[in-house]
Amino acid sequence: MLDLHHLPGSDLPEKSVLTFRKHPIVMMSTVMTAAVLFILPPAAYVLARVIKPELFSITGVFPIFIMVASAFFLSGWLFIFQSFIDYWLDVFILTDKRILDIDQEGLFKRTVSELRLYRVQDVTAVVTGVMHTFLDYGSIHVQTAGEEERFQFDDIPHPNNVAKMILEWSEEDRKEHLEDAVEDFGLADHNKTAGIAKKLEP
Amino acid sequence: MIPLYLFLLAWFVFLGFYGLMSLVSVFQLMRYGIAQTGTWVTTMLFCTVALLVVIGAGFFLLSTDWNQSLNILGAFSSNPTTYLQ
Repeated sequence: MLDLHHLPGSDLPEKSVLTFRKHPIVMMSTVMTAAVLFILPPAAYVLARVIKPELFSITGVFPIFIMVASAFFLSGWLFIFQSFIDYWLDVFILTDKRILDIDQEGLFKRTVSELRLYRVQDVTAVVTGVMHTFLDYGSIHVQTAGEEERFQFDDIPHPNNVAKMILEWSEEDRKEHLEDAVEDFGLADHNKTAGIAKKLEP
Repeated sequence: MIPLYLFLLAWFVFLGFYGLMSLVSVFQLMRYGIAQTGTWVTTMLFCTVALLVVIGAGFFLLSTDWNQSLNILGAFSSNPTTYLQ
């Protein structure tokens, strides 16, 4: 299991600040599918009793129905569980040093991306749509010093609050890694010149 | 004419396959899930409900005489006595 106090790939002491997942609303379609799946066996039983009442009075038919219905229910239950695993294992972890994006696709594909906080230049929260506005969930785009956008988190609850937290912690981490941050932001030559000039001052 | 025990056999085969898939799913969740209450609760809930369904279905099926055979074509007949022989 993943222990928040001992995250993988950590070479420095760090503490987990925030662990967040996608808004539970993304599971709505799975829940509705499951509801339909679970209603079907009893509905089929009721329908059969109405159309052909003598069917279940025959020895052997009801046990077969029980087996088929249980198999149907168990299959639906496993489908829901695997959908939940796909949702539950998608997690974003904000520590005081980095952001971890763990993306699970199906059961056997897992991508772990991480971004050092001092590299973060800009964080944008986007909330678009009626449902998103009412339930306060949306996307967060994290921009680093490079041209390519590094991280995008979709369907995150309270994206503005999360964006603010990322910015605050990235500012803290940048203070500790000032030289690295300066190099990433392309100011290395200027500071090198300024540092040399300072040394040459009488 | 299909012996009823064949349906039982098919059900056992399905349960075996289902158990394997469930084991793989639970293993993945235990391996990669965060050590939180939600992980444990959902795993226990899944296993409990699945076991209850299997056990409940098993109780229903205990009283069945599996040596009998089922005439599927007779099931659509208007004469109920042709269903089972």
